[in-house]
Amino acid sequence: MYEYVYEYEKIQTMFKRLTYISALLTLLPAALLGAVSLDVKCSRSTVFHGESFNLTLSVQGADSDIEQPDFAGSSPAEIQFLGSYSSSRSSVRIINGRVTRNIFRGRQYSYSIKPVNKGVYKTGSIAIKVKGEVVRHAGISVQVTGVEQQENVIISVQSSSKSVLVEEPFSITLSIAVKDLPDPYRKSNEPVHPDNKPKITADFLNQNKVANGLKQIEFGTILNKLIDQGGRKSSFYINNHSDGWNRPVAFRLPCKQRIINGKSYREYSIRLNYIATSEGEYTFGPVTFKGPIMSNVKIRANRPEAVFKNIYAIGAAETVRVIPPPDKGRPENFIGCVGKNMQASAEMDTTICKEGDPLTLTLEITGEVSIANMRTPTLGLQPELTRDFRIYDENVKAETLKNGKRFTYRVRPTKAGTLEFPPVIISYYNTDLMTYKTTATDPIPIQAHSTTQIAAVDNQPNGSNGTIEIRKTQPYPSGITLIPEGTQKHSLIPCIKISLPLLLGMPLLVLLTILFKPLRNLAKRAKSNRIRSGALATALRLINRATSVDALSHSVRIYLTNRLDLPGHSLTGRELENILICKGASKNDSCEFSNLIARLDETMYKPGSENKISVMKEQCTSALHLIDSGLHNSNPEREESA
Amino acid sequence: MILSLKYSSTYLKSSMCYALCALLFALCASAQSDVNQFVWDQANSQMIHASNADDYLDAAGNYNRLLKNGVVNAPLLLNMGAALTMGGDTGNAIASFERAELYSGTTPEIKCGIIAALARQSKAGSIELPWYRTAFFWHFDISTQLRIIIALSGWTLLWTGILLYIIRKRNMTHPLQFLLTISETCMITGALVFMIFAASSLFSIMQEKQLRSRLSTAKFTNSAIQEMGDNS
Repeated sequence: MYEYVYEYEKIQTMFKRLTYISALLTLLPAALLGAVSLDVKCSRSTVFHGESFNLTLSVQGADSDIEQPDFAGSSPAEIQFLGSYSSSRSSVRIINGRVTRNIFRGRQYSYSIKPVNKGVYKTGSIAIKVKGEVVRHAGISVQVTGVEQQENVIISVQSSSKSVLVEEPFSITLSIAVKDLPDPYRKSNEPVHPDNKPKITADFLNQNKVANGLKQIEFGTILNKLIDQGGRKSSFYINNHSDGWNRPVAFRLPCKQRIINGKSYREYSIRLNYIATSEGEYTFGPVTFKGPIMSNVKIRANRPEAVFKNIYAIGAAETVRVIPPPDKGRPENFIGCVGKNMQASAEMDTTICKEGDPLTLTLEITGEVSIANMRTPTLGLQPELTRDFRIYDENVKAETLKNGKRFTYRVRPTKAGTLEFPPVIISYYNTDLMTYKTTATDPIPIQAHSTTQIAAVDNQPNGSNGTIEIRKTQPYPSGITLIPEGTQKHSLIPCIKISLPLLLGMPLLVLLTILFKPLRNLAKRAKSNRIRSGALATALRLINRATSVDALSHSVRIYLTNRLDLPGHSLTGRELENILICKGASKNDSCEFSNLIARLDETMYKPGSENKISVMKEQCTSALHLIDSGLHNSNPEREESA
Repeated sequence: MILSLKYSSTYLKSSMCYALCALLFALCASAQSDVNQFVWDQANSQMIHASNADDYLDAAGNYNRLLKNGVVNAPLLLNMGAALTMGGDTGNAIASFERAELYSGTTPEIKCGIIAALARQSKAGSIELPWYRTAFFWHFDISTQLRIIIALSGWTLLWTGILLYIIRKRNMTHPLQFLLTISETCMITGALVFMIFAASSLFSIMQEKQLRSRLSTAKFTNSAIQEMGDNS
């Protein structure tokens, strides 16, 4: 039995060895031969004659000791070296404490190629020498289409810069130069007739056809300003731009005179602004021009007539390279961001924990920077961060903010005590200063307590050693707050300045509204009572002062007005008598009083009445006393109803 | 002349007496404030450096000292709740958190504290907060002060509705139908808001009274150890 087992193990070991050797033999050539490779890409597969395209050579497996590529087998062409940049990158993975570092080395070379002949352009075999070893690529082909040469319309697309950084603005200018009419018509006439408009076609003149990674700035506003509203100007149709009724819209492009090759041209141009949000190559064009222009003027029946010529012209495309920042001086902590005013802040979910507790580190990177190119910062690469903490770089959550990104890491303190989570250092390329800038977060203090010993309570049900059972899964309360407001006295009830107006304001207003009418009536009645009670005194005073019968009569009538609340001036003697009786005065007194009033009225118009004034005063005084006492003794309710 | 001098000297004396009293009062208040600040810092420091239940209970005792000095606010009660939870006195910890809730409304810290205290009390790994906290969210989420203000606003709205109703009634000849609609809406909304928030505020005030008396007479102990002692 023992021998069988031994034999079986022997065979198994042999089989394992054979497997390892065969795997090694398979992988060795691939590792040796495939260490450095070359990849070739071109920006366009078809170009017009006279146009250029960009060729990118990507060397994979090496970043230095590379010689310039050899284009010996290329078809005739103007080859221009645009530059090279490193595409090397590295990443770190930490799984169960095992650190795996993946490093990729590479370099990219860019060339602008302008084929000389029509037909198929072939780069031929491209050879590049890396560390003394030649690496080859079979090459690629590009179709070069011929265009009829003419000098009536010259189209050009030009960029403000051939290569830009991410988030760096650049502009593309489309110019269409149309040959002028001969003199004397040149000055006052443009070569594009308002009724026969030519059409310009170009992909980049469409708002919705902007390439991924590019951002057009105010494209719609620029085009809207150029719309030829009346249609009576020399203008162009652009692509298939149309109005609400599907009628083509003409655009009047800004125009100026220009001399090209000694000939006069009208140059129509439009400038569009862009910002690249990610690296790459962006091609603008080609641009086609199709339609009639006025090439000459003929005199027919003593009248000048325009001679039209149909033109089909093509303008060469322009390619803009959006490249990463320079390799020189690039810090290790560069996260791929380009822009300005980048800020970084870090915070932990708690500042008090136990050794080994998982903590959440939130790193926020904000500013006027390119978010598309922002890579997750690898905190494990900063040795000072991993001194007291274990950082899990592989489980980072990234969240895009309005002006930046938020990264959430899991972190564990590996020691107990008062620790400091060191500043996180992050670098970016500052487009204002055209240099790399480094920013750091503030350090975070952490209080890590040593782990509590867990006793096996099941074995010691009575807890004889005084140990406490602590379940690992039990949650903890959040950290304490140290704000100085902790010593202030707060009240549960809001201050009286707020609560009292709210409590009493509206009910008082309602009470006032309800009581307004009764109070007003009360005030009226009080006033009327006051006047009534003072009626006799007022009348007597006026009688004493009276110097004529007229004044005497007026005083008596004022008494009637005040005492009885009646229009005393318009009452006759008979009416007055009835009213006084109704008000409770005796019949005799009422009769006498009404007679007195009648006498006064008569005496007023008689000559020599001034002599009787003193007699009349006495009569009036006694009559008023009499009638007032009579009214006073009467029932007030009766008086009121009367 | 002598009388006026006498009067002025008496007046001066009484003024000086008042000024001295005011100065003494201000000095006392300032000294009390310094003492409170010292106790607060001491308690916080104890909390940060605490490593066992007794340390946490000591810190809780200092926080309670502040409460006895008349200081009461949500951060203080929250810290005291955390100290009591860590110290094992879960019953008083919950009371402290609930009292903090009355002053500031529910915050994530208070929720976390209540959950931690409840979990320790029931000796469960994780625990959910009771359902009624979600159902009566206004009672738990909003501070008592704000709830009282909302209740008073509802009260004002109710009376505004009554006022509009009276105005409308007086002008029956005019087509003021919209005033009636507004007044009815105001009255119903105001009455509802007032009833809900006033009831909630009253309940909170009563709860505060009860919790205050409980914490002022409490003696903080580690209930886990106590239970073990009882069992043995």
